[in-house]
Amino acid sequence: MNGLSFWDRHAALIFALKTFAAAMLAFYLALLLDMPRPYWAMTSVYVTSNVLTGATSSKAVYRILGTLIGAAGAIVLIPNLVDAPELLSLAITLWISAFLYIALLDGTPRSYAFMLSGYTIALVGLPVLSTPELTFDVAVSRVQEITLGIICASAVAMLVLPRSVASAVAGQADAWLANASQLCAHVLTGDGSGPERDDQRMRLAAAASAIDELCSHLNYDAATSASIVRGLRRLRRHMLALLPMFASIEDRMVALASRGGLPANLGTICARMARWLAEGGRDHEEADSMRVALAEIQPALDVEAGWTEIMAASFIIQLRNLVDIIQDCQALRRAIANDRDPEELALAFTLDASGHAAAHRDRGVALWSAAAVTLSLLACFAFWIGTGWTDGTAAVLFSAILGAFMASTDEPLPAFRSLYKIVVVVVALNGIYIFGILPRVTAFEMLIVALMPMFLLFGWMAARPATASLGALLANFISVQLALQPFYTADFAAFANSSVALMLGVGVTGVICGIVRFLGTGWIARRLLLSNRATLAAVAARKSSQDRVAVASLMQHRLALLAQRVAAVPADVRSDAANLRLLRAALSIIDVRQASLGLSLPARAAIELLLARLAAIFAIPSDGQLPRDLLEQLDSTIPFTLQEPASEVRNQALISLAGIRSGLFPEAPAYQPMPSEPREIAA
Amino acid sequence: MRYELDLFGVLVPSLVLWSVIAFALARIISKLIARAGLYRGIWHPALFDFALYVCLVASLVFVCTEFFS
Repeated sequence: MNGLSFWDRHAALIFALKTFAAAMLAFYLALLLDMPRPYWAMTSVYVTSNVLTGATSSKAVYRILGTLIGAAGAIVLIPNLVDAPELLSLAITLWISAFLYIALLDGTPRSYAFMLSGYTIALVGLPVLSTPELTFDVAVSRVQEITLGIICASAVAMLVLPRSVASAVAGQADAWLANASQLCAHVLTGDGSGPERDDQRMRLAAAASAIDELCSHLNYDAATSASIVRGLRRLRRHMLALLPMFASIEDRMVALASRGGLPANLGTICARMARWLAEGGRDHEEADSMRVALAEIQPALDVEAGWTEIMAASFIIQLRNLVDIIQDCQALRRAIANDRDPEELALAFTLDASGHAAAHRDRGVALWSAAAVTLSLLACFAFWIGTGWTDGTAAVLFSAILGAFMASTDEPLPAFRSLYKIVVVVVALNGIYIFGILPRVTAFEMLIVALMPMFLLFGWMAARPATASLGALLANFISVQLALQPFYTADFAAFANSSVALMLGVGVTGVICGIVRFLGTGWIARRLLLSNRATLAAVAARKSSQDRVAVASLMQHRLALLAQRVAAVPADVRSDAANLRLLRAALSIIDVRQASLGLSLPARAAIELLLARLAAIFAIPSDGQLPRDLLEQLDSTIPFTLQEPASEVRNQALISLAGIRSGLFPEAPAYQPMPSEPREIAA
Repeated sequence: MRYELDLFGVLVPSLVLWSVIAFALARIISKLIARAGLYRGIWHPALFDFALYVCLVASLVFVCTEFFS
């Protein structure tokens, strides 16, 4: 049984059957209601359906919104510009590209609404160019058909064996936490560095980002209670703190080990904690006794404190936070499983309770991709106007749809090559159906039987992760190209025209996107790395908000994006990126600034000077080494803080400075106290 | 030269035929270039392939109108 129920093991097949039933229901109702293009209702079912019920509902909402906006655009633009094809082409191209740009910037599932707003204008407007007075009717019927399809898809998804997003998120979060505990156990037993562990870190970041994407559907999960949603969001926030913490613990261990080995009492507690984590971190008594043990060995940081003491103190604080977070995660998981409100839980780690998660957006890449699609659209329009080929507008339509699909890939050419094979398969299947099978179909029941094998196969493929995008594309394209009508009309001219237009539109878009976007994955990866420097500079210069959650989520999202492009990341910067060095430095900068408010004026001035220097250095994009005298300035700031009277604030500032140092200069030799000089300045 | 081909009763401009032949030729030539390792010296391979294809279509059409009309 391997732990899965019957329904889970056959989820792909059930999804295929469900979706096919919904599609046929939509098609049948559309025929019954005498809608002019019943196949649009059927296509809508295939476009919106997702294995998870919440994801289907959210896409349904976005699809209706996008269709409404696009249809409104068609009603405004088409009748007014139909006599000036050049102007009309420009206007439609600009409309589609502008919405595509917004969609690329958005980057969440919501972007589908923008993308659809863009190309709906082509779907509605281009077929009615010869009869512009019908624009309004076509727009209205498209909205009706799409809405009918969406209602069928959502109703079937919710009524027949629903699978909630919340359970999927909870399952993935469990798997993530298990993997993270394993990595942490490796770190604590001194086996935390090397390319293999770096890959593990990157995979964890990528998995966390996949969970984020699922989470954005949570609000549309009708059957899930609000407290589960809150609990999952809180759990995700705790997960954000874990990855940078592992890397800091690793750094501290390496630093302490190089200075004469880990102190014996620290070594035993690390081993205990590794064992505790390997067992899943569920043992409460062990956690409490570890907290007591950690409090006992916490060194006092006095004026004479050296590097070892500072590192050990920060190491112990990190270990305590780690115990807190892992315990909180277990508590949250239990609360989610029992449907209890997370607000009632007493969480130990509440440092970042307020704060907003942010995601990485690259305006430059989005603009570049949208510009490539603009060029392809213009080329298709030029071909249409130049040749006077009436069906040339269909090429524009497919160029818009394909362009939107390809704009989100890094390397357009490989994506285009695999896509072109799909297009050829679609044309061939379409020909077989139109000229071989459909002429023999005389009743609706026979149509269902005829379509069933193909659509079940594609639906099954769409539900399996390995073939998801392939299956979805095949199902969508074939249901558009079949263009099922109430009566059978076999027309070779229509078939040839629409097939040639499909192949031309896809071909032109692929070739132009391939030529324009020749800077591929490597360029995007480099921009990701450079944008982390810019974020650090903004934090150091106080130009962006001093929000720990925002910075942590932003930089971990970038790491997840880098993980997808890991082959294009140079090996020497891969480890720095995987260990989130800049993120840890940025978090330490926020902490040291906050702590410096409670220090005396000279220490505050020294810290501000250091932060200004950091901001100046990181504001300049470069891949090079950091200047050596930055380390000297950092080292001369630490004694200022050591001079301060012992307090919680001083320790915090000191530990944060050490955090900046080990984040930015992991290879540097240990800090040497300089007792005489700063005392004179301070006096 | 005949400007249109009859394909199952649909008249297709002969340019379609030339562009298909040129595509096949361009694939063969670019395979040969790739085997010879010459792509390392080309700044923008995708643009080069496209230019090669345009040249082939143009020369096919030119040869056809010159010699077979």
